Amino acid sequence: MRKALVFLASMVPVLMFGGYAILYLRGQYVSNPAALESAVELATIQLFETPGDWSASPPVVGLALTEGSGNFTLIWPYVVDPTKLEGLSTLSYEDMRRSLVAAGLDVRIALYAYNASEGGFETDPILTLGTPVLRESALSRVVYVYLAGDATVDGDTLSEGFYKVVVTVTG
Amino acid sequence: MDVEPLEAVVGILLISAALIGALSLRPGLSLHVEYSRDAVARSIASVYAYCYVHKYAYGPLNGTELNATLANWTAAVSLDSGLNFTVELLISNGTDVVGNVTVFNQTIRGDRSVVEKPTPVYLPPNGSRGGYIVPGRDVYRYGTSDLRMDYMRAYVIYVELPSGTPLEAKNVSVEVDLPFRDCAECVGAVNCTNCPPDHTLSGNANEDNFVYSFEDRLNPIEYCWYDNGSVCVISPYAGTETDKATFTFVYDPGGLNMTAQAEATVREKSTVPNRPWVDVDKHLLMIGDTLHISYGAAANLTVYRLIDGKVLIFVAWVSNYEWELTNPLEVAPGPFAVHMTHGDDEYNSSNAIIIAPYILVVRVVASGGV
Repeated sequence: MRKALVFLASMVPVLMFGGYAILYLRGQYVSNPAALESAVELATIQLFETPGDWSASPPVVGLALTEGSGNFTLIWPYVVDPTKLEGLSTLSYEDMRRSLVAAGLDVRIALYAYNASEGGFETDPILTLGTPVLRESALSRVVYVYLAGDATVDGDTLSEGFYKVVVTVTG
Repeated sequence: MDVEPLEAVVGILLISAALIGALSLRPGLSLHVEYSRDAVARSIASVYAYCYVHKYAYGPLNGTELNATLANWTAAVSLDSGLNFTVELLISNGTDVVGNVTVFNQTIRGDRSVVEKPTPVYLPPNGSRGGYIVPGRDVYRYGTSDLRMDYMRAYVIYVELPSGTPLEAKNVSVEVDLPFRDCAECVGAVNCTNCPPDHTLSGNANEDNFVYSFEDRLNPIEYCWYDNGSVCVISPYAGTETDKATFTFVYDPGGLNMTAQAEATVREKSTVPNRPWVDVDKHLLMIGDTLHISYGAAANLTVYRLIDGKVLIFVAWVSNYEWELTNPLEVAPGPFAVHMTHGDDEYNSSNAIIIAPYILVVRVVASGGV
């Protein structure tokens, strides 16, 4: 009996350590690189490859330009509808975040203008939407888009043309 | 402390289970680089497709301008992303790829992403239609000494806008008002007593694959005369006087009344050089076809779109030309005039063709990012 009690007591630290390790690693799930990869990939696809549903409340965010109506609708992925971009800029952060990423994650979208005479993209973003704070884990995706018309955001005009977009998901 | 064998085995099993459980939760391999490269390749393909349709096929840029704009942008993307690209434009008739051109070419090494984006080169109708007339000749000639005139040959095409997709228009009626001296002018001028008949040609157009044509003439041209049969005035006009003929093509299904109207110049033949007619071997072209253009003299060939004046090709000083519709940067859909002009462009000849909408496939290969 004494030996059995001693044995059980010696197993307690092992069980406590194992349980702690499992719980700790499970807690890392939401912000581990694989989870962030999926989140930033899905956010980018939703933003630039889908037209969204801007009549819903709150809107389902999507910036892809569409043409036509009724039985014929053509979607242009990575071609940004300026009206939708203006709509996104007026959306509350919480509505935008919930539409793009899972709970516990934040998102930021930064646009950089293309300078044809310099043959490159500006180093400072011309427009930033979303969270200003990056947490301990963050992953970015870069895509290159065409803005299909002038857009006015906070009094500034983004001209029709090519842009670089950095979508960052943080958690 | 003695440890029983059973206790030792149980202890080892528990420790092993804890370690295995911890190890099984390790994160998977990162595919971030591959996903990033895929996303950039997709975005390049889509932007190319959009720019081709909206800036070239239906926009202001010609093939060279579009190519330069996109190539410079792609070079900037390559520099910014650290990826290399090749970009090809392929055009398809829906079954086969019948034309292609490489618009951007960098060395491709290592892991790569390949994206092919098909896009219909067709813009949705905006509810309007248009009828476009192409006069077969500018200037049409007539003779005051032989009282002979050129055939008043002209073509019309009806299309959906903005795609330029041709409409089938059965029973197109045609009327050509000619500027020759009429009764009031005869009587008012020298008190003629007998007037020429109404100088109007009319009839139905002939169809050849959505292009409707009309060709007729007065033979001879009649003029004013006195009761004794002598001529009052020379008709139609003498010397270098010029005037306008008006073509009117009407397609009126169920009261829709689609009317296309155009003016042409008519002039005495002694003042106008004789120009040949432009002949084409087909009026409706699909991607992959070859158009044979023939003209009885050397002249400058232009093919331009009737909707907006967009020029597809210009070939200087040629009498026969074979145009292969395989280069995506030379082909846009819609109704076109095949136009032959001499240096001064004052006397020229034209014919009409339609290029049907097709499918553009943008093929992007991206490499790098390791």
